[in-house]
Amino acid sequence: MFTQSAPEVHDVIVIGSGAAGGMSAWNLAVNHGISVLMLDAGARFRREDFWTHVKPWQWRERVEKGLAPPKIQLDSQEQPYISKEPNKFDLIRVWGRGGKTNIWGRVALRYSDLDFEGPAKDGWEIPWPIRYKDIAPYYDKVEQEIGVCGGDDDTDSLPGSRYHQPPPALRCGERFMKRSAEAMGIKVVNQRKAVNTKPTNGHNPCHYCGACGRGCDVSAFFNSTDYLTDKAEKTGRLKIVDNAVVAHIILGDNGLAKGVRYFDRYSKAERIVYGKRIILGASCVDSTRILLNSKIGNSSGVIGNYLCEQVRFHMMGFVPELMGTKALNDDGLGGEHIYLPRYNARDGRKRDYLRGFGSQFWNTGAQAGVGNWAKQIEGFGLDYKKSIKRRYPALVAMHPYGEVLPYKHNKVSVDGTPKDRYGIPISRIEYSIADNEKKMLDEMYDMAEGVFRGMRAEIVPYQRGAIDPFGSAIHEHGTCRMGDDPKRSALNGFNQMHDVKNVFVVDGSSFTTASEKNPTLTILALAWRATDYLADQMRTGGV
Amino acid sequence: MSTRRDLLQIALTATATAAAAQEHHASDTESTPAKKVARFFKPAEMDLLAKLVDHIIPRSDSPGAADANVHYYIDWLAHTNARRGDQLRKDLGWIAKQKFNTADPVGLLTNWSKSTGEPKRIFQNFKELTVDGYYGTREGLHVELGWNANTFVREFKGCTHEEHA
Repeated sequence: MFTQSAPEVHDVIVIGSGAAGGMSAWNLAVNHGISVLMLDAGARFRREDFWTHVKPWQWRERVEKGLAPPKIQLDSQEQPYISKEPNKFDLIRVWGRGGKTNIWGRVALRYSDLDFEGPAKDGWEIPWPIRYKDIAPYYDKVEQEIGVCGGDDDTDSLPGSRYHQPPPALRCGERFMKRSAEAMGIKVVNQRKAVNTKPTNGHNPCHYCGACGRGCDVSAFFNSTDYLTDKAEKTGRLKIVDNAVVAHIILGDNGLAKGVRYFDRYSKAERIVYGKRIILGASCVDSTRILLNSKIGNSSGVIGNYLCEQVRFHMMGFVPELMGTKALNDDGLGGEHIYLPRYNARDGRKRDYLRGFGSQFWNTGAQAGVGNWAKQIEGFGLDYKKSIKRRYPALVAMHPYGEVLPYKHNKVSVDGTPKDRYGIPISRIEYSIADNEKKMLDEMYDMAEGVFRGMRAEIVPYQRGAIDPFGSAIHEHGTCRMGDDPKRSALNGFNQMHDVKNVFVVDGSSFTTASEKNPTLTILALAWRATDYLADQMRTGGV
Repeated sequence: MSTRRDLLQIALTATATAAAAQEHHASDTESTPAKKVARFFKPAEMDLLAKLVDHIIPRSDSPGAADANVHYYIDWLAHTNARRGDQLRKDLGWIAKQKFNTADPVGLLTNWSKSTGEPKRIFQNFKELTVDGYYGTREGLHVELGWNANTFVREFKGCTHEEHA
């Protein structure tokens, strides 16, 4: 097959346009004046196409007319991966400008030293090479740039920030849950969300329609397109190639990367672009697949191993005091306005498991997704209809997230897998949890049941111990981890490959552990920090 | 503290978004559904389905499931998934054989809801479809439950009950 090569050698090639790739390109182009070529596996999603303000019945009418909302998630039929029952791992991918930031949960939590120091203290796998003090200035900068609302309350597990914008008011159910948890000695704080509650850097404030998951039509929450890549393109220093599905990073004779081989997503034409430095931010699993298929940077043998995510479950119930009250507009930011940070390191009690968990509270209040719980209420007829109406404003929900330790057997691999439509081996994901997570789940359930009991809530029937399908938190980490020891890690503390100094990996794969937290704010901060380092190295001739 | 630039942007944004909200409101009233046409089930099956969903969620001081065309929602699901449609047709056939149209439908539904095996499965399946269908309609979600969201508000007030503070 004919391979088209462009002779130009780019200063930096960035693979991926989501939080990791977008931040890298923006920082280099806007703050450092460096030219960047970005390869995006898809194209731009048009904000005006989002079905943000489409009510449920209008949605049905549109679908019946043959219309469809923008297809944001990648269809696994287009780009398959292997993952087998009973441990099937749901891999959610977005190929297109902004990646998953178009539809992300917007939860923007800072890691703390409880997270960064955890592995060094408990001895499970390798230590993080950085501490909170290393990344805190970057959290500050990210929050000022993209806008994060929340609280300034500092705890050992969740640092606050003086740059947080005002948090939204709490819903009734959230007040009850906060009070109940705090009666158990468990602190609940304002949720930190990358949603603007006031105009910020040219971006609109939230208008509280609650439909963030469909994409925001006024761009009030952070997405990489509106907040990063558009601004970088305006400098004239960022050029983006759409529908560029990257297959390999190409090594030169000197052991450094010299270019990237990709395929046009639709024509399947093979192309090569050359660059002096490569930044990989294609999301955890896809970046890992690219590295494994490229056979680079893996003298440690860790690339692909130690895939870690989080265990999660859901509990719903009804607060007696809210039953039968008038339904309020509970949309708000879309998702919860409170967060329960990890607390298990505070009471001095030794657990029979390592690490910890926190909890989110989305779907609390009078929301549109009634079927989620109403199907589980017994009965039918007029009494049933009345019972649904009575419970409707009283709904409260908890969604605890617990850390899954990095295990070598949890992995992404490409050996012997079938090839995709471009002839490139696809990913195989093998994943399971172990005793540590099962023991942690016990306390997670105890905590959730305690909060519900404290409100005297009627709990929707649930199966204790049940968890969401693997991968459904969409927080994949660890398969190209950073560390000080090149024998046990692929990257140094600046996301730079130990083996191939001009390659940086900046997405969730670079994390040493998963923690119980949503990773995007940390991905943004790490990518900013890594590209500051890269720019500095470029100035001094280091890379 | 808001800068002048912030305040100007708030004003501009509020104007633009309020206009957009009015547009959305207008589109809400424009979306009066066209006359419904069954695409999968036959007329007799649709009659039975309408009766079934209306016993699961009946009319009260608010519309019931049949008023909200939930039977057409289920028909659409059957139309778009042949395998599911075939199973639903089979299940409706079973319900018809129990003389649902002429016997005591409430008594039958009560028995099925408390049973195990096939009657329970069939009851639960139609109940779940009815719940999904009804509470996704304007009649079920807005008129019955009072949901009035997915709209523009300048300020989110949250819980307004002093006693919950």
